[in-house]
Amino acid sequence: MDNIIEVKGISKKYKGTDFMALDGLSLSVKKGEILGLLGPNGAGKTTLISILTGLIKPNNGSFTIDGLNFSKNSNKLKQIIGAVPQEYALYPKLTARENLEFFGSMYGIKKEELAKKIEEGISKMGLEKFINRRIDTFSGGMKRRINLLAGVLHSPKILFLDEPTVGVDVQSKHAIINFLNHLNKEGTTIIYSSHLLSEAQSFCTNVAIIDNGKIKVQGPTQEVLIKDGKVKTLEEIFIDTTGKELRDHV
Amino acid sequence: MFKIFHAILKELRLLKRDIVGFAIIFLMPVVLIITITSIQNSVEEGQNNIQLPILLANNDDGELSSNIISDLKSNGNYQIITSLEDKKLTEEQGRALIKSGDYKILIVIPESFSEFIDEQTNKQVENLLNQVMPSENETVPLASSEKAKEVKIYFDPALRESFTSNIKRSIEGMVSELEKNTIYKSFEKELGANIDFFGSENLIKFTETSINLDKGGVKPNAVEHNLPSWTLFAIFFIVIPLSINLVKEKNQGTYIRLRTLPISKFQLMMSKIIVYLVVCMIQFFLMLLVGIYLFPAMGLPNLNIDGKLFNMSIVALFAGLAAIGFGVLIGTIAKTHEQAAPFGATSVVILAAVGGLWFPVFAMPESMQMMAKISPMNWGLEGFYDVLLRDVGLFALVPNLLLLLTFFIINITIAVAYEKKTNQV
Repeated sequence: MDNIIEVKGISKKYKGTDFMALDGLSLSVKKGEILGLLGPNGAGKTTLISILTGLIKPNNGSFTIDGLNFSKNSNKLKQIIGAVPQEYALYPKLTARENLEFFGSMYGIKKEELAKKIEEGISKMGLEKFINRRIDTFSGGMKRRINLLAGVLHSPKILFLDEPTVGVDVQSKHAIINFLNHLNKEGTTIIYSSHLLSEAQSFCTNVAIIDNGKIKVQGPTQEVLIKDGKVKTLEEIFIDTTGKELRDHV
Repeated sequence: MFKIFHAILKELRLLKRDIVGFAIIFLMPVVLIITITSIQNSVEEGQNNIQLPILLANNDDGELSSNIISDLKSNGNYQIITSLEDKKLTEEQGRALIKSGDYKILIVIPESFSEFIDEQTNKQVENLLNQVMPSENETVPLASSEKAKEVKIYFDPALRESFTSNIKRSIEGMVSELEKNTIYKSFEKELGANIDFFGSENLIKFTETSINLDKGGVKPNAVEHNLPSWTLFAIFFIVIPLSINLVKEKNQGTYIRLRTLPISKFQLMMSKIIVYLVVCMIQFFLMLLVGIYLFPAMGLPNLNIDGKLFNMSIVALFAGLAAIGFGVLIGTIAKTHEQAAPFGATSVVILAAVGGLWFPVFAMPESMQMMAKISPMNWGLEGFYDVLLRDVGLFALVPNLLLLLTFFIINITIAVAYEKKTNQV
């Protein structure tokens, strides 16, 4: 399979800080992968996703997504990627349909096609009854599902998700994971960051454990879980790799 | 255009859902203009119907004090109170009533006031005539200034100085007229002739003419003076909802998603500018409707915009752009709703005050006059006055329109540069 994402020696140091958020990080992601970006707080997961979605620029290094880079093909790249931020990136005073119509139209999807995609997505997420309700009346789980839908209406080739299931109930979590699996089967490459290691273990085809801005472990999930001839859990591998020291960052 | 259209639709929906913001944008300016114009109109035109109660302690029994009282009464603006409970008002009683705030003004006429003025006037006239027509009579000594009779005026300290000065000037004018008549009478008496000094009228007359009356225009009324000020105030109030809208977008996380979308910042900015510009124009036309239809129905003067609507709309459009530019800048720099709202409101009030919306610029200190020249509200106000009161053409508006446009461009440029800088984390 071809690499859809190639990251070469990316470094990032935020202004006013004295540590490297990313320190010469290199990474490659194949088409159709579900890559779990794992790591303790402050490891550099969100920074990496922010760079790959064009929100911030790295200090050093380069990367391509589907052979394109942001400096030359910003709009083309934005058209083929989907981003689902950790925050509820929705307008609380608009209804679910109005939010999805707005974000979908920003990708240039025409009215009829967009309406069809919204109906399909809403149905898969089990939110048909609430489509005309304002977001500020939704529960956390419902918001998460709409948040995800808003990032995939244009059927992106690559989807970046920053902790998409954080703080939601089990049912919503299942709905989100099932939906993501469905997208992946249809060909979407998924880059997903999470602290939920058991979820990542079952969901991701590949994992990358990041710590101190560097990739410590990367590979297919099933291969990563085997260490010293024994099959371990992802949590055990994670602790073995990153240690038990608390990572408090301000 | 497709994306801008949907971004505009989103902004309109957000505005529609914000009832409080809607009220601030449309209702508050209308309430303000109705209240202020009603008050100002009643002060300017209805003053004759309101009589200000004035206490008068008269310690003199002569003709002059009687004339002062009768002139004050006949003036129509004052209700002269010389007695309380059928007893002659004393200075002490009057002072107590002023101190308690029950009355605002007390005039005290001293004892033997008429006699003293008569005596002094006669002596002055006699001396003058002696110089012109020398006789054997000796020059009569006049009373020294220390001995001059003093008419005291007490004011409630709560009264504004400008108001007390006006009242004082009005009373002094009346007294000086009576003094003049006393001198004339003294001359008549000394010369033993019945002389008509210039008839009963003053030699100098003042005629008030507005400059555009030459063109067949009419004298501007309170509505025509107020409407530009309050329309501009309303237009600039857009700064508050616009800046809050931007801050909310940043804090809701939608800003992050917007930055990952294949739409340029320019297109997103344009959608906001278009929506809020439409809001500004609706505000402007709403104010015009109030002036044209509501005010006459309330018994207030109506607004005459015959042949001026297009030029007024142009001024409103450019003022709207200036206000939007300022709102975008505040919304970009402010990090929280708590920063944006009070700063936006306060800065609009300051800009209004400095811009001459409430007090004429010429009456301001020199430093403030300089500030007024760089205030966008002043450029807008001058633009409206040029159209509405000075009746100038579109070409003459260009300098102020250019200033408003430049203000808009500068604000947007700073906002874009600031955003670019803060995103370079």
